[in-house]
Amino acid sequence: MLLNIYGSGAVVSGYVKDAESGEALMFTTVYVTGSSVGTTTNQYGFYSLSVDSALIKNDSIHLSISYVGYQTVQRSVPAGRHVELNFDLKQATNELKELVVVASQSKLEEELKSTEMSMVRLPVKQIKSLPAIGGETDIVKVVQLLPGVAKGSEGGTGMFVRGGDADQNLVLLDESIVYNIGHLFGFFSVFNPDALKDLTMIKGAFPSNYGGRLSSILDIRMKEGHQNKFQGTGGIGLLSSRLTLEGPISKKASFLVSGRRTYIDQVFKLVELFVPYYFYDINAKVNYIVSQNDRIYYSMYYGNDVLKFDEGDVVEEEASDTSSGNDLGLDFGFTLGNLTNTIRWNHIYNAKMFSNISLISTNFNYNIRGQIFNNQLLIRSNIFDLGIKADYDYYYKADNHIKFGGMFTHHTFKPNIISTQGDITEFLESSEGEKLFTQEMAVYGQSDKEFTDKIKVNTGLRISGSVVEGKVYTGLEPRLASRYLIDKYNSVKLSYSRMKQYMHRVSSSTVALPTDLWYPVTRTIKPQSSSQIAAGYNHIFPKWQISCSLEAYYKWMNNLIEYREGANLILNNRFENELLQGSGDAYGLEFFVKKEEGNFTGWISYTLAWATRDFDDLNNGERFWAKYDRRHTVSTVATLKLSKRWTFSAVWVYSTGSRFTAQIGQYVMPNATYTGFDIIPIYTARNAVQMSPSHRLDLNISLRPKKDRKFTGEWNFGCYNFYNRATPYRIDIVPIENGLGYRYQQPGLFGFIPSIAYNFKF
Amino acid sequence: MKLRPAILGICISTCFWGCLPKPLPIEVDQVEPQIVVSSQVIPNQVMVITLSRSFSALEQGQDSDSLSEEFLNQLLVENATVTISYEGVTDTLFDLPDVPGVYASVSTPQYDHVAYTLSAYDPQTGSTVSSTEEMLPFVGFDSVAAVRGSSNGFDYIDVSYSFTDPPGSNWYMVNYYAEPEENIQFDPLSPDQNIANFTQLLNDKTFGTFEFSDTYRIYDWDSTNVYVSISNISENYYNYLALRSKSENFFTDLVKEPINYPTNIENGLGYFTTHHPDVRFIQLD
Repeated sequence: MLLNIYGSGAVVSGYVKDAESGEALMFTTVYVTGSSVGTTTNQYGFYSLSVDSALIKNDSIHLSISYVGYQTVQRSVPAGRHVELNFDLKQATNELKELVVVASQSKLEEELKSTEMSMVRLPVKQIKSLPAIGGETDIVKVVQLLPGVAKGSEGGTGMFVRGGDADQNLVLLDESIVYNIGHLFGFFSVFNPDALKDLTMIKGAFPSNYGGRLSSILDIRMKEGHQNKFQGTGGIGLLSSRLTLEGPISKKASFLVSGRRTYIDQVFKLVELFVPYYFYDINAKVNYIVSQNDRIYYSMYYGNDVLKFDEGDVVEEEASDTSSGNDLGLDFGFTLGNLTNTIRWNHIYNAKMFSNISLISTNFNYNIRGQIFNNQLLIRSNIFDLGIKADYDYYYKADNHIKFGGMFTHHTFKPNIISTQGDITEFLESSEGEKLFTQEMAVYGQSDKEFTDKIKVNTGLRISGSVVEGKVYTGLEPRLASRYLIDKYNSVKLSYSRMKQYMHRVSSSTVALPTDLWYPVTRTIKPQSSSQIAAGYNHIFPKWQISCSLEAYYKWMNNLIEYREGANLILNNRFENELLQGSGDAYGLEFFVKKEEGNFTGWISYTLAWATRDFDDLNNGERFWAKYDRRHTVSTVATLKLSKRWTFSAVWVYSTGSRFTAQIGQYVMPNATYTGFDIIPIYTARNAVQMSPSHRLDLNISLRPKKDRKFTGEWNFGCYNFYNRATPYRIDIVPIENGLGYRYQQPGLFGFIPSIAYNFKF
Repeated sequence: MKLRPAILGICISTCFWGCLPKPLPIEVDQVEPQIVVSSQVIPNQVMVITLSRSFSALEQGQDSDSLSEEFLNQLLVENATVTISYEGVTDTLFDLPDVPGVYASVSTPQYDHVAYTLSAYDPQTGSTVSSTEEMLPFVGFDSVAAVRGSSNGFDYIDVSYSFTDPPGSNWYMVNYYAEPEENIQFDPLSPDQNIANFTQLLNDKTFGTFEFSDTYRIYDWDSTNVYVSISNISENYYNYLALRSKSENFFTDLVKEPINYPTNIENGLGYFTTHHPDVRFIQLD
């Protein structure tokens, strides 16, 4: 009878949202109760589930919907061929622990059953209570605590994922590429946590809808804005303050505006110290529900670093010195900023077909200006991207989710535009740089199919390409991810990914400067590529809501980019001649155990890794270690809810030192004119010295008010590097105290730094 | 300073600088001392070889001013056996009297396109270094002139020269020297204080014709006497000098990866060159 009515079954589809704010909940599990048939919501909160007629009981479909941190919902809906059903999930409270445990277990089971591997999703809410430098929560620094992610220099936002380079990470904010993710020479990331909802870090087994970088994808999603009430959140810290306002515009629309500004300049001004630097960020988002099947989102990010130093500042600084400054005409500064805009259109064609089409623009530019006397120098560089991206989800069957789509981006590069005036033109002529237009495109398709209860395979292919200076590069990027479910607690996974990268950052490998440029491949500089295999074992402890994974990977990288020894990249329009291409290998083992729910949450990660490079023209053609080849890295992240009011968190990190090319000798040589001598240093082989291991403990304690009021505040007291141990970032040669000779030492950048911050919500 | 800012200042200083972590010690193995070769050819007169030893990075400071004459003398390799071989002939160089570590030959003929092999044996360490370099044809100036000028408060000297570029690929080194004033004693340990010098490197791939001419402006020179020389040098030596020149760039020095300079000395360091320069003296008004 049922078979007659429902034929091959029914399809249930809709959105899952937060009941209070109306925010879409991505990757929520939707299951037919008592079965293994289920799905997860996509990045826009949409799900579609084909239910076989055998699972329709009493003309009803019984569904369980769960998401970590939310109460699990179980709902019976009358069966129909197509059922549209939206769910609003309520956030969990301590009184409903059992429902929360169910949600957590569902998520763990979903992770176990999924073909996804080498991937970590972190709700931003979860990382806000973690300790940070100066109390500034920084999502990039949290990502650095994940297995397989090596940090660069201390405090920096550099990420070296599975032996890759810092420019091999695709950082997306609401689908727009963010080229410069650091403020203050990379010490702070550009992401204001108050405006963000969720982040996904992918290090391998890349889904075919992602491409363009070799080593990782960091996909960050902004909040959509509260759809039901107006509210504000913010924070006041030692280094910056933040304010976010969000709320409904109408029944169908909501907005979010978030701003952050440092006041390093203003704080130092109080003590009559002059630090002419600050940065700020603005995030904004508007979404509009056009109809049940159509939604439109607009999101924007604008951030800027500003350094400004002029004659007035000199005069103010040295007011007592009447001879200084007055006639200099001094004016120096730089601005460095990103502007991203994304317009997205979600459309539901039918219960099985969902699409997202995005129009994306990204603008990254820096301006450096200097003036002294009548000499003026202005250096500008700019990247402007305009692109379109279409992604389709086709929920063919309950056991087969098909994705396909494509992207096209037009890049405009204007590097090193130099404008000079005055006598300086004798040394440095004005130049328009070499403007370059390139196009990058890709099409992809993938099928995530469950062949049996135990075997599921995600097969994908991405075909990418780039057109530059009349030359066309193309790349076939096959992707494969598979899972074998041993039992309900154990699974093994295997993946292969091939990636192509058509852009690179022209940068010194030692220091991140505002003058670092992104530049495309050219006729002679070929695209970078990588192949990675990974094998993993997953185990879950549902009772304790703990998941464990052990992954091994091997990555081959080709056409990697380095710079000739002594290359001068600054104001150099012909830096292509300074580039070298070579290969690299990276391999290692990662262990990750995490607990996301309960009073005690956190994770422990351990990475054992090797990364090497091979360039014909570097290190005498001999293979050498990558700079951030760190053999062992351990991160322990723990958050403990001591009571309703007190939350304690700690981060302990240990890592083998990064690599350094140390001076080990010297000799005297006459200069080319034979009029004097130079002392020529002798160095080890490139990156041959491993610096001392570093370890650090960061602590934070949060205090909430006794009762929830309309305006609630939270105090955060924390410290960075509790026991004040140096994290070496270089090796110096310094005189021995008694004056007899010299010795080596490894300075650290940040010691014990206490912090206090006040976060509020109204 | 008012009280409140002072207290705040102390707090900030304490937080950010007072707690700077103590640097960690590290041991790094030092390179064994090696023989360092440098050479100079005075056309049709003399070939001079200087031998010294490399030393530990922890032995002396990082700039030439911190090296004492006594220490430099200790580095020189005395009583070495130094020979130069060419076309089946081997000449043994003699020690220059009162100048330890410097060896010369006045009898070695200078033939174009002939390979000269240097060999030096240090009896103290028992090590031998060697190198072979082809002597390239002499290339001299067709004309040289210099004019002093001043622009917007900057003094400069424009040196104009021309020369004929022989067929084939060639690389050149043009050196500019300012003669030290009479009342200053020449001190090789502090070249910047008593003599100005610049090196211009040329690659004939950038030349349009065989008759190459150029004017090189040298700022902030106020000398009355200028020496200009040109040498036809090997491609490897050109690359070596270019690398050294790049590393003198302030910005490059700040951000570069460390460079181990190339050498053409087997089992040693430095550079054996056989180029012979054409040196011109110009007296300015």
